Amino acid sequence: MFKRSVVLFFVLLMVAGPIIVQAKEAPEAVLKRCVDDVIVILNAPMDVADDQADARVAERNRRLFVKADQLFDFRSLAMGALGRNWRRFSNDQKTEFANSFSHLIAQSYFARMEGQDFESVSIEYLKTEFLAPTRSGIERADVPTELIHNGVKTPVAYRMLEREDSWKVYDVIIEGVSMVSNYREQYRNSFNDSPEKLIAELKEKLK
Amino acid sequence: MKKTTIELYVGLFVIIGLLCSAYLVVQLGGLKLTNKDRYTVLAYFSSVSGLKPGASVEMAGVAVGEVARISLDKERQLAKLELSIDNDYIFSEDVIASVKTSGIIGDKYINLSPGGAEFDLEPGATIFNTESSLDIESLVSKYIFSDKE
Repeated sequence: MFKRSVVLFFVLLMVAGPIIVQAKEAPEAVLKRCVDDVIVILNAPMDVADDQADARVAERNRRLFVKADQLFDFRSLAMGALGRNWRRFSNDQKTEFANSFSHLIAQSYFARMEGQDFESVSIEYLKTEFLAPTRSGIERADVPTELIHNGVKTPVAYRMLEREDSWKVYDVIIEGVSMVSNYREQYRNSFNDSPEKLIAELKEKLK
Repeated sequence: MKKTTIELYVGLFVIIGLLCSAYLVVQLGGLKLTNKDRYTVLAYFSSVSGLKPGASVEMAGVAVGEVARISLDKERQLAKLELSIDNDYIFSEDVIASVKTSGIIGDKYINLSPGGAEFDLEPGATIFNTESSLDIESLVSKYIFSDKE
């Protein structure tokens, strides 16, 4: 009886295994879907002379943030940015920090997007590089892309990891410079500050 | 009888002298007889231009190891580095390894930036966060020749 159930289990595994694997979306596909959506939102016509322009920008930014939240793993991003400091944070503090940090990043990007034109953006996706899972069991992949805007070709690589059956971005490398590494170097200097102070500083910047 | 004693002393001094110079050669030449107190981790880079084997691996400016071997991964066509790290140091797995230059035109070295993940980097593991050396020339030429108004 036991033997039979073991055999049955393996047969099930062999049959079901490939189906499960196929059902999962490839990192490149996830990335492409989200980035395309973002570009559509950005290219939606907006009448700046309208008196409700501010409200419209706010609404657009809210929609962009929802998209970004689907694509980015903000907790990993915050962990990467804080580096060693992350270990000093309690679980609640980690969540609070990750939450505020995601809004800070979004805010700084929204500020840059003002008045830019995204009509001519084209993105070329290059071959995804899968990395062997580490001890934590998390699989990672690098998706190198080339972004062409106003005739300038910029290499942008997305580092993705598998989280809850979907691929999420945890770092963006633009022209060989990593975003997480950049924030980590900044946070390294505040090793003396308490987690409460770091969160308070972050919230101050958001105002 | 007396001559034998003198010769014995001379021989002894020669041997001591030889031992001293052997010690100096090993110490100053950086020759490693044993590799026991170190472990190796791997890191892949798209470019390690200018980096030489034996370059130091630093964290916060403190040397924690050295670059043991630089080779080209034939299949992925990436630079594969074997970093030999002192056993005293243990890093989390999301440590960032980047190729840096000491000063403006100084030697290249590997800088490790500590991460916060709860899992540690095991001997033989691969560092997945890497930053290659910045190619200033290609950056400059890109923005000079880009047709921006």
